[in-house]
This record gives sequence, C-alpha cells and structure tokens, in this order.
Amino acid sequence: MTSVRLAAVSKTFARVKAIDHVNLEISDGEYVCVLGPTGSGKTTLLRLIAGLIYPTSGGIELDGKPVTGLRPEDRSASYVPQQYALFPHMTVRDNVAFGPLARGFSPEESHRTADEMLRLVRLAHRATAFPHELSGGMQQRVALARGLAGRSPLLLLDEPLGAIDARLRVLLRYELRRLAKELAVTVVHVTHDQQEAMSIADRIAVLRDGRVEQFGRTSEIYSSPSSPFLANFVGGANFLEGIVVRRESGTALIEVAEGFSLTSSEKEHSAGDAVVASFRQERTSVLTNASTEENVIPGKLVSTSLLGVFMRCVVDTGRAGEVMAKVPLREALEQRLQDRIGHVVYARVARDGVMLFSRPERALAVELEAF
Amino acid sequence: MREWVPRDPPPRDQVAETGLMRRLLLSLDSISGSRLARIMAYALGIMFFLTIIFVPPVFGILLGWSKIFEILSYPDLLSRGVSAIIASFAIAGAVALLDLAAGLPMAWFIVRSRSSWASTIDTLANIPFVVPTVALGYSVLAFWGGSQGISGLLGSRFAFSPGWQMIVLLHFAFSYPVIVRVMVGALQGYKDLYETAARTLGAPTFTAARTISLPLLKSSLVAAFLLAFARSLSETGATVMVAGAFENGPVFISKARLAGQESPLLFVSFVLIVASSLFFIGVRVLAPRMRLPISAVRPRLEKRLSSGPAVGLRSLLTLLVFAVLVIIPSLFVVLPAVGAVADGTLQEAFSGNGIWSGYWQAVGLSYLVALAATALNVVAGLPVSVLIARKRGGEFVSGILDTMVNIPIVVPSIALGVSIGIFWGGATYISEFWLLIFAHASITYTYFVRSMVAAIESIPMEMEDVARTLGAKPLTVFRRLTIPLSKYALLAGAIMAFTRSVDETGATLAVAKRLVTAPVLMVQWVRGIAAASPSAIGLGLAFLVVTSFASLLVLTLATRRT
Amino acid sequence: MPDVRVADVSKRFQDVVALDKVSLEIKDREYVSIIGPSGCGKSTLLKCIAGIIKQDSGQISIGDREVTVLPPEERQLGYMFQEIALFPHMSSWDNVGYGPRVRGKSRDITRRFVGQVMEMTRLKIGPRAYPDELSGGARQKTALARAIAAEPQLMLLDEPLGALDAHVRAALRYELKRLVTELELTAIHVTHDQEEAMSISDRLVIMKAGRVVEVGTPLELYLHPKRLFTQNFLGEANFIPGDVMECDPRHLTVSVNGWKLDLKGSGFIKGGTAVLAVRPESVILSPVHAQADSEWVGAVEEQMLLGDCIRTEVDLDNGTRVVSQTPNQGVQPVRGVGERVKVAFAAGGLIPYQFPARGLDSELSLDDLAGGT
Repeated sequence: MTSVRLAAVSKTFARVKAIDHVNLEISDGEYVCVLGPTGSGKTTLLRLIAGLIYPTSGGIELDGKPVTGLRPEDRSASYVPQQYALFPHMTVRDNVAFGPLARGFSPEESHRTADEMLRLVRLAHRATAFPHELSGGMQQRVALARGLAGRSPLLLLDEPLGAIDARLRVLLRYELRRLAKELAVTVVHVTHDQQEAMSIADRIAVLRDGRVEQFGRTSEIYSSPSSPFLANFVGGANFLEGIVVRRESGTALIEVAEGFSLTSSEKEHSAGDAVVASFRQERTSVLTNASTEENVIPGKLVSTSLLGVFMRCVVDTGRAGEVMAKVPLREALEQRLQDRIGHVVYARVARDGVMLFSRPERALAVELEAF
Repeated sequence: MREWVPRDPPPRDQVAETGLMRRLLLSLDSISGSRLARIMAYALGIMFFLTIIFVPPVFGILLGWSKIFEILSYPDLLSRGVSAIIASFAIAGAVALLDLAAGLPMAWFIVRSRSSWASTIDTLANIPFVVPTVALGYSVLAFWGGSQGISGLLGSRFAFSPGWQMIVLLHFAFSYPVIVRVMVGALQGYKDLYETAARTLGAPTFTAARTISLPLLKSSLVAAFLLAFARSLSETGATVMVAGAFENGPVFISKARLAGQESPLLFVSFVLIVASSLFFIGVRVLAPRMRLPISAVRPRLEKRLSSGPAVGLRSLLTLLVFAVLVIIPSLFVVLPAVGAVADGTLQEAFSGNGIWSGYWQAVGLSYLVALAATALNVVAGLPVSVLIARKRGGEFVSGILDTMVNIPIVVPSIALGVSIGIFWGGATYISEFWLLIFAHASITYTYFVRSMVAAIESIPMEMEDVARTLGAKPLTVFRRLTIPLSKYALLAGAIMAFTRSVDETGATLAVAKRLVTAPVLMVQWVRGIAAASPSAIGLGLAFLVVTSFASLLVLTLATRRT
Repeated sequence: MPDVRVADVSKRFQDVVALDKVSLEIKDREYVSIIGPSGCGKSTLLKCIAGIIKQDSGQISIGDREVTVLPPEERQLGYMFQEIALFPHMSSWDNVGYGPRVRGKSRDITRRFVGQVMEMTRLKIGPRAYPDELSGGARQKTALARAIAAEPQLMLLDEPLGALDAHVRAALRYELKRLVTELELTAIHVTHDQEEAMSISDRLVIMKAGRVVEVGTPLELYLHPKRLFTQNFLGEANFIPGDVMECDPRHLTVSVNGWKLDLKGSGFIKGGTAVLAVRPESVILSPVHAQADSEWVGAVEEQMLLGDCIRTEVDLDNGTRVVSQTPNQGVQPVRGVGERVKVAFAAGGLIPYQFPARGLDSELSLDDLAGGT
C-alpha cells in the first residue's frame, strides 16, 4: 500500500520555486531519507506533507486518500521539527501524552500510551522531568516518543540528529531505524548528511533546487548516480573532463588531458562524446612505483590526512588536476605514504570504477555546487 | 503486519470517564476547527478595537469640525494655542533626548556591571513608574520649588518657580524609567556575541559598544525614545500642577475646558492628534533608514574610555544624575505624608469626614473604572493580539493593525478624551461613567496588546506546528500552549493597563464633568480648590502611591519565574 | 608565532565544574584540536585562552607574555565563532576590515589590505554584499578572513564549521588548514567532530568532563590509544570483555566466553578482567570451511552498504557480537543474513585494556550528562 504520494507538487514562495514538480511514492512501512543541501526544499517538502503549508499546484495523498486541502490536525502525519519544540511548561510525560489527549482520548488512556512510548525510548525514568533538565540526546528521544504516541502511521523528521555530536549521531541513527521498524511506521527523514542517509534509509530521495534528482535504494544511487552532482553529493568522487576517443568491445577510452587517457567499462557513451569521467575516492588506490597498467595517473603526493578507516591522499597530477584517493589505513601505513609527501606517486582506478556522464550545460564547478 | 491501534478515540458517550467540563472543552475545540468560527472571533475583536478604542479618539474630533476653525477669528487665542502646541513638542523632544542620554548609561550599568548594587538600582529605577504622576507632580513641586526642598538646602537662589523649567524637570523624572526599562530589556535580550567578536578583533569595550552594540540596538533606542516622547506629550495632571503661567498643549486644553471655550479646545486637540500621529508614523518609517555615526575611530581615546577608572567615573555620574534628578524628587512626597501621620490627619482620613468622603469616593471610582477598562481590554484584546502576532490576516493586514494599535498612546490623552466626548456626545444614553470607561480603555488597550503580542511572538512557531500535527485544534493550541506560555505577559499587560488607568488625569478631565477620579481630585486639592492642608494632600497622594506600589509588587512577584 | 601554555586552569559555573586543573602546551605553528563530547569543557577552555571567560585559577601565557588577566582585545587573537557572528549591519568587506580600522588604520590602507586577505582566502564576493545574502560556506570564509585581517598571533576556532552542511564542512576544513599553515599561525581548534579533527591536526587533545583524557598525534591516538574512551570517541570500535587466564610481563591470554585469544600486553593480573578493543576495519571476515572448530565463527546478522564501506554485524557463536567494516573497493562480498563466517583480527588490531573501575558504560559514555546515552 502506498503511504505517501506526491503528484506533480509545486510550491512557490514570492516568486521563488521552493518545490518544483515533485513526484514521490513512499510505501507503507518504508524508511525514506530526503537528502539535499541547505535550501534544496527538504523542509518545505516535509511541511507540505504535514499540511502546515499547502501546495501551489499538485496533489498529496496519504494512505490512498487525498489530503491536499486538509489541515494538519485532520491528517495523519506527525511532525518532529529540527529543534524538537518540546513544550517547556509540561513534564516529559505530559509532552508525550499531548497528542492522544488532543485527539480526544481520556487522560488515563493518554498517559498509558505515553508511558509505553517512554519505555520504548528508554526514558521512563525521566517521565516527571521538564525538558530543560534533559540533555540534547534525551530531548530528541522525548520528541520522538511524542511523535509516535499519536499512533500516526507516518512520521516526519526534520534533521532529527542535527543538533547531536558526531559520534553520538552514529549511535542514535541506528536507534531511530530500529524504533521505526519495530512500530511499523512509515518515516520520511530529512537530512543534509549523506552518510546518515546511506546508513539507515530503505530508499533515498535526493533533492536539489526543489526537484528530485534521483529516488532509489542506497546501492543504486551509489553505484549508478544519474548526474555528476549526485556522484559528488552522495559518496563523493573525482571528476575529470574529457572526450571519448575510442569505443571497442565493451570499453571506452577517454582522453582527459594531453597524452593521458582513462579506460572505462561503461557502455552508454559513444566515440566523440564530451564527457565527465568520475571515479570514487575509495576506488582510487595509490602506487609508489610506476606501472604499465591502464588508468595509472602519475603525480606528486601533496598531502595525507587521517580520516579513520581511510587515509585521504591528494595527488597533484598537473594537467588533469588534483585527484583524491581514500586508501585503507593499513595499506597507507604499509606503503608509508605520509613519508612520501612531495614525491612522485601514481593514482590508479579499475576500469569498472570509472563512471561516465555527459558534459553538463553549466560549468562543472557550478554543477557540483562547489561553494 | 502492523498491529493497528485505532487512531481516533472511541465516541465520547461510550467512555464513562469523560467529565462534563472536558466534554465542553472538546466541543469548543472542534468548533474552533471551523474557519467561520475563527473569523468571527477575530472579527469581534477587530470591531471592538475599531468602535471603542480607535475610531472615537482619532476621528471623533472631526464631528466638531465646524467649531474647530472658529478660533481663527480670535488671533490672540490662536497664537496662544499654537505656542502651546509647539511648547508640547519642544519639551517632549528635549526631554526624550535628555532621558536617552541619561537612561542609556543607567541601563548599561544595571545589565553589565558586576556590582551587587545593580539589581537594587534596577528596582529603584522603577520608582517614578510606580509613583502616580500626580504624586510625582506634587513631589517635584515641593522639592524644586517649595521651602523644604532644594531651596532649603542650598538657599532660595536655587529654587525654581512653576514654569517650563519645572515641567522639564518633572517630565525628565517620569520618562526616565521608560528609557531604562526598555533598554534593560533590550540589553538583556541582546546576545553579547557580537560585542565579544569585536573585542577579539582588538576593539576596546567602548569602541565595541559604540560601533557594534548600539547600531544593533537601534530599534529599541527608537522605541524607547518614542515612548518617552509620548509620555511627556500626553501627561496632564502633574503638568498642570507645576506649569504656573506657562502653557503646553494639555495645560491649554484643561484651561479652555474650565473656561468653557469650545473652539480653542477643539482646535488644539485636533492639531495635537494629527501632529502626534504623523510624528509617530514618520519616526517609525524613517528610523530604520537612519544610520548612527559609527565609522570614526579614535583608538587611543576609546581605549582610555574603556579603562577601569573611566568606567567608574561614568557610573558615578550616572548614579548621581539618577539620585538628584529622578529619585529624590520622586520620593519627596514622603515628607508631608509622614507629617500627616504625626499631626492626626491620618485619623481624619479614615473617618471619612469633610474632604475625605469625597476622596474615598474618588478612589473607589478610579479603581472601578480601571478594573472595567482592563477587563474589557483583556477579553477583546486577546484575539487581536493573536491576529497581529501570528499574522493571521496576512502580513499587510497585521502590519496595519499593529501600527493602528499603537496610535492611542501616542495621542495626548486629554485630546483623546475630547475626541471621545464629541464622538459619543449625541448618544445621551451612554452615561458619563461608561464614557470614562471607554476613554480609559482606549488609553490602556495598547499596553495590554503590545505585551501579549511580544509574548506570543516569542513562542516558536514550531511548537504550534507540532501540536497541530499531533491533532490539536486551534483552540486546543491556544488553551494548552499559547496561554500557559504567555501567562506572565498577560498578567503584566493587565496590571500595566490597570495602573495606567488609575494614574490618568487628562482624559478624565476631558470626558467627565461631574465624576471625579482620585488623581483629578488631587490636582484640585493642590490648586487649593478644597482648602486641603499640605498634610492632607501629602496623605492623599501617599495612599495612591501605596496602592500603586502594591499592584506593582503583585506584578513583580507573579513575573518572577522560579 | 608563539607557544601557548595553559597551567592548571580551573573554572566552575555555580555547581558545575567546567574545567578541572587543565594544563596544556602548544608549540609554535602547531595545529591542535581539542575534542570531546558536548559539555566536556573544550569551549570553556578556548574562551579562557581567549579571555572571553575569566578562569577561577591557573595561568595562561601566549608566547613570552602572561595574558592571564588581559582582556581579549589585548591578546592579539583571531577568533572564529560557532555562530559565525558576522556583524549584520555591516557589509562583508567592512566586517573583514573591522580589525584594521579599530586599530587605527586609515580607510584606504584597510581597503587594500582587505582585498589582499579576500584573495588569499579565495573569497569572491563584492564589497557591498551583506552577510545575510551569502551562503553558509561564504559566510564562514568571511569570518575566517575577518579573523586573519586582524593580524593575530594565535587563531582560536570554536566549532568553526558547526553551522554548515556536512559536505561543505568536509571540504572547508582543508581550506582552513591550508590558510593557517600558509600564514604560519598557531591554531587551537575546538570541535566535537573527530573526523574533522583527525584529518587536519598535528596533535589532538581529548577532553571529558572538564579534564584532559589523552594527548597525541591523530595516528597515535587512533591506532594505539591509552584509554578506552579515546578508542570509542575517535571512531567506531568493538569492545569485548573477557577474563585474563594467563599473563606474563608482555603477553596475556584472554578467554571470551570460553574462546581464547593470545595477545601482547602488559600490566594485567591473572584472574582479572580485561576489555579487548578492535576497530571494525581490523575485523576480517572469510567464508567458513568444513573444519571450523578452533576458530572464531558466527552468523551474519546484518550487512549494510555505507558508500565507501560495507558494514557487517556478526553474531558469534560464543555469544558476543562484532561489527566488521570493509572498504568498498568494487569487489563486494555480499553475504546473506544467517550466512556463516569466520572472524579473524588483523595483526596489532586487538588491544587489551584493564576493565574500567566504574564500569564499561561509564568509561565509554559519549553523553556527559547523567543518565548516559
């Protein structure tokens, strides 16, 4: 069953199109992340579904029923805003019981539901506390419990982990998903953090300038992004502009700089096409000795930075620009890459790691939203 | 497969636990879901505002149009009237600027100084607010002009006689706390983040305050200026006490009223209404475009001004000005009051004999009128407050409404009273008592609505958004969120309106020919009409001060958040 | 450009101890990050060094000057705020020029200087642009330019990238480092984002509950941290409690629910408890062959593609659960839920620690307030 359907929904604010012809279908029980940079319209999308604002054109259906003109209190979507907006003058328990009480359940029934929700988020022991006495992580859980207590089949989360520390965020995101799946609620989770989206979503909708660029499973978007922007925004990559010079038996040869070519196993583009060759940083390895293999780019090792699992290496290849490689830490240490800064090294990528895109109309830098 | 728990509650009559009260509330909540119901609520609020609060004082004067310009045939009266009007604006402007210059450093001291005196001074700075203006007028008269005040200390050369200087001293004293209150609030709400940033860039505190904080506080400075200006322009009773032969607008009008001269009265009222409205709107429009001088830099001088001794000197000066020009004159009424206790006037007062029976009647009337006016304003002002704060009618409508709501306090209250009197003049079924209530409601409406608007605006919209998506109808949101979160402002607004009404003289003088409120009676006593002794006057005023203190004490206690 | 010395600085706010006798030494031109969970005191420490907050006790010196009682305007700092704090009533150029102007430089000289700084920070905005017209990244760069234009001897950065989107943050941090290095400034950078800190710092200072937990280079602290908290804070880690069966000065044998492991380590007592920490990237999975008795085996609980990594949770037969992370290098070993795998630990990847006195949860806790996560 379809839980949420948006059909050609647009929203304009004072001549600015915040949402532009969005089509979206979310199934019952799915955990969907809406991913995009600030200003892409993600919060507007959420508020449209919640009914806090109405679309300029297009229709919205929840649970198969059209809700386009319905007020929020008559819809069935719970909204959890970025700053949680806990009611400061009520205890945690009263906050969570607010939804059922407002809908007309008796106080006893409402408090029973509240207690159950608080047990689920493991905050039953703070039921009588006030919001300002709790830490950020706890407040977030209260906000969640409050949203779930209304028993709505749809939960709308606006950057729920935005105010949380980096490490805590990693732990809490799995909690979120677990909770949602346990209660079988459909979730629309808005975020600007692609790692967050990739680790918990069933499907990701990437939003840019009010339009859905791609909507699919993490693995799809990661391995088959439909544009350079997507390749960059979800997962990050290296980009080199070039022309396909030759096509033969399932591979393409792309000249990216004078005297230098890349081989790709992609099958879409033909000889003569102007393309952007793109390969993921984690698919790029760094060699310390020259090699005659294909796709080996010589350059100077400019810097190394520790990311944790990976060591990020920047190789200046001269005419082809800077190439970034994420080398597994163990490998990087074995090769002693930190000691080789300033020396010649070689960046290499396998042919099936080279993705090709048609050259975009706008300049590549603009397309990638380099700030 | 999800285990479905029904989302809607069982029908109410099936649930034995639902009490009558709750059922009633839930029904009202559902009604509020209807657009029509809500529009009606807002419409009623707006209608009240227009018919009682706004139109009579602002446009009522036009009903006497024919009589207004009769004055043109009396050039002497005309020139007197015009001088009076100019005097009003000149004094108000000068006083507002002087108060700004003296009050800003005081506000700075209260908020920024780490001295333990700061909160005491903060409370003391409220005193001229707390003391009713008539008491302040008498106090100032006694201190600056009487034999026991300044002339007793420094010799009669230093005494002032009633006239424009005394008016300035009086107005300086009672507009001072306005500046301090507004600026203290602004400074407390102002995050010193920007000032800190300026200091990390090398700016000494004085430079940081001048180039960064002050420009960012500009809107509060303008608001404070306008408020002080309006207060000076409007005050009647105390000004009459200290004016002597000098005339500003309100003094002229009250004299004309006593003399029964209708045309000068209408003319000056009319001009005051138009001029003050235009001035207010003009400042509101132009002020955002004004730029404060912030580009000049004198590093060494400003570094020295930021040093410890310089700051200490400045604080001392600020406190001195405060003590000599504001506090002591305000409290001077204590002396005759104390004398009254000593010489037996106190017993006489409580017995209710002679002049005192009229006194208690007047006090009773004052409170009754204040209570009625405040109650009306709270009930009718709530929907309008919500409309403005949440921009329910759209940005344009709320903006206009917001400006309109602010006008009644800008117009001098005596002119307002004159206008109201004319407006309802034909409606003889409206008694003087109700005219008084309408007039006082007009004057105090703004205080309540502004307080509520500020409070509602400070409630994050997101809270209401969440409540709505959880299923709360508009009235539920109002009951369970808006009111609890703004209850302090509600109380504060109501009490401010109440005290302001008790304090009012001008409008009462204009509207009531037979009824006498307490402050009006006091003005009569001071002018010798009832042959009241200085102790009696002192005592009468002291009672008013005490009750005013009491209501503001209630306010402070209620708004002190635990 | 100076050393910075912090000696025994303490600060309390009412009944909360924000800093507890913190001492630190930062060398000339070092880029040091102070990291820790919210509430650990890192911002307070930075503000004490800046002079924005006055510490209760202790001394601070910058270079050869003791600045303990000096106000911030006399410490010659460049400070970047988490809230960015560009003056909203001035244009961006005027913001950047504020420092020079306040020190008495003429308008012309300032304008030229601002132009140079803008070029250095690669900021392409016009002289009349106001802060509210700029993007988040551009605002941050303007704040950086403003701090640099004040010609500081020390750069203090308080969660400078906190207000930005994740991908802008990840890119801008290298710019920060580049500029600071080019200008040969000493920098102290406060953040809760450990990846940000590790990628650009020369040294890291880890703080928890007002105290310094550990100090070291990113590599040292990531691979061989002395404290369990550091393990947990700098990245994901598996924590496996076990009993010490045998030990000598340099080795020990630990039993985890019956399964044994031999490791290098010292300072343990036979019969005591230990916690073994191993990072997910050091947990190596391989298919199980018929004879699988003396090895660590288990069943796959869940596998997830995280983009650059594949994360697998394995339920071991001995009752423990481990997380393994493999870099996504194209060859994806797709494992189904329930599939049997063999678990091995990379050499040097398994580090033993004494079991913490106050319990494992307390030691690892990333949430400083009572009640834990």
